[in-house]
Amino acid sequence: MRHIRTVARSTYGKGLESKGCGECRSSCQSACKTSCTVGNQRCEGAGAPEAEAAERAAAGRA
Amino acid sequence: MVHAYRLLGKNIAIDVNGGAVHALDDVAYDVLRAVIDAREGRPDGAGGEVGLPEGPVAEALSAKHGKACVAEALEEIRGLTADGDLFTEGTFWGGAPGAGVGSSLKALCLNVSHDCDLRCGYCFASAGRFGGGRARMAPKVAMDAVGFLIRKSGGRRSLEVDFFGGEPTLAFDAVKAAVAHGEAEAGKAGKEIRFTITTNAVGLDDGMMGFINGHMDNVVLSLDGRKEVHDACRVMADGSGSYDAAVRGAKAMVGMRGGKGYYVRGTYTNRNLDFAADVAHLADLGFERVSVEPVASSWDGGLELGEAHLPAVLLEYERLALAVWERRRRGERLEFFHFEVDLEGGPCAAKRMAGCGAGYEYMAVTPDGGLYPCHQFVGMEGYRIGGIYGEQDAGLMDAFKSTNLSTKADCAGCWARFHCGGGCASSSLRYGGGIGGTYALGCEMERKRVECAVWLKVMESGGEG
Ligand code: SF4
Repeated sequence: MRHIRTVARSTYGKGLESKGCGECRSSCQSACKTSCTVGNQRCEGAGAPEAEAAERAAAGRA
Repeated sequence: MVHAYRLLGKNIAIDVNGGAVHALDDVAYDVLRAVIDAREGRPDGAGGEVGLPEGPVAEALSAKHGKACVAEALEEIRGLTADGDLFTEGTFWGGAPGAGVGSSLKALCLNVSHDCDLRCGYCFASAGRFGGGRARMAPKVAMDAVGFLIRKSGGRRSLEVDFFGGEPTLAFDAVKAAVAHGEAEAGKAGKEIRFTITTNAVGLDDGMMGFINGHMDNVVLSLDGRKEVHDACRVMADGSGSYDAAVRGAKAMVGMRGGKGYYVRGTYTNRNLDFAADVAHLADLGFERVSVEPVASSWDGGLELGEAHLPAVLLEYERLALAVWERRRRGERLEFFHFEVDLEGGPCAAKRMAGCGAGYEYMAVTPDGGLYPCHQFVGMEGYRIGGIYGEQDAGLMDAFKSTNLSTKADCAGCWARFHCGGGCASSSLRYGGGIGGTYALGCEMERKRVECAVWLKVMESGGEG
């Protein structure tokens, strides 16, 4: 594309069916304790990039 | 819904319901704005034509950028829409967040000490006393609170306990007892507890630091920034400034952490609207993970942020974003908490809908074992959920659970909703008329922080060229 550069693709669809696994961090515990934000939390469930990498590594497929 | 904005020389589009982010040249930006205007008034997420209205708008765009370029940009916008990266329909927007595992208890904030060695002017804990008398949690209560968390956590595996106050190092015996108990019991239940502590760093000794480093997943150290700013609010009981002791403690603690988590966290008030200078100061002290937050309370009556301060605050976030970027470009490591948006590995839609979970998945425990929706509600009449020993008020918990992004009228039209999660219940209560309201000033700040965070991502992804 000549006029638009995509920096990140859409991701919000994931986890909808499961209604969330509930493993990610509580937002207010992270650092702020005052201004709630969810966008800077990481997904920590199975299927999250980090969890997938860990699984691959554990299976010797890293 | 698409939010298109210009910031610090960049044209950026955020696909609100999908999360995609795009950097646009001037042609695509103007075309996209015209497309957004043409869709104005349609219900959010409604499909339909991505196009330009015939007539003066299209003509003006062609005159400015050339007809072929406008057509090209429009095709790109249509392509992204077809691929699900622009104008994503709000497929989950009507639904409430999930039940099941996602609604059981996950995290406790243990107010182990309703006492503090400092007397900060803005402290919502009111010099550590939370509206009541000074009190410290007994080790037994701290252990029982951890047991309560494990019992009430349903199917969750990862749990969290934050030691808070007042100043939690004043009740370090309770901290140690809770950690020992939690480490022993969580494993038996097939769970893991991540411990964190929030301290003013003034009274940290070697023993405490060794313990914190060995057992805590994260340590939050309170420092406001420049000495004169810090000492203006964060004073010892005798009125003297705490900067020197706090910096000494924080440096020693962070020096031990290696790769482990920490944040140096400050508060800005109407006295330091130039808070980017405080972040810079903290970075110059060698701290790489910094959070500076707007003052939460107006107990002191004189430090709070108001409508009149907003333009300066918003501009300051832009300055800060630029400063963070410039440092990173020089090879310095600096993370500013609210700019650390995760565009690809962020939370799922259910989490974005549910927000902070205060009142049902996250609660605060007082020294006597009382339960409140979160640390900000402690001591507030009508908001005691019950206690870890007695009953819990299911009705009150339900009120919090059923108040979320999908029920907050102001959030429905807000482009930042899936980054924000619906804001802070306590601020909503204080300034928005109830937990279902919003804190308008806080919303403006949140939207600016998200714009800045996404701008940084654009810059880091090669946006300089
Ligand atoms: S910024 Fe305000 S209006 Fe927007 S989602 Fe957050 S709380 Fe709701």
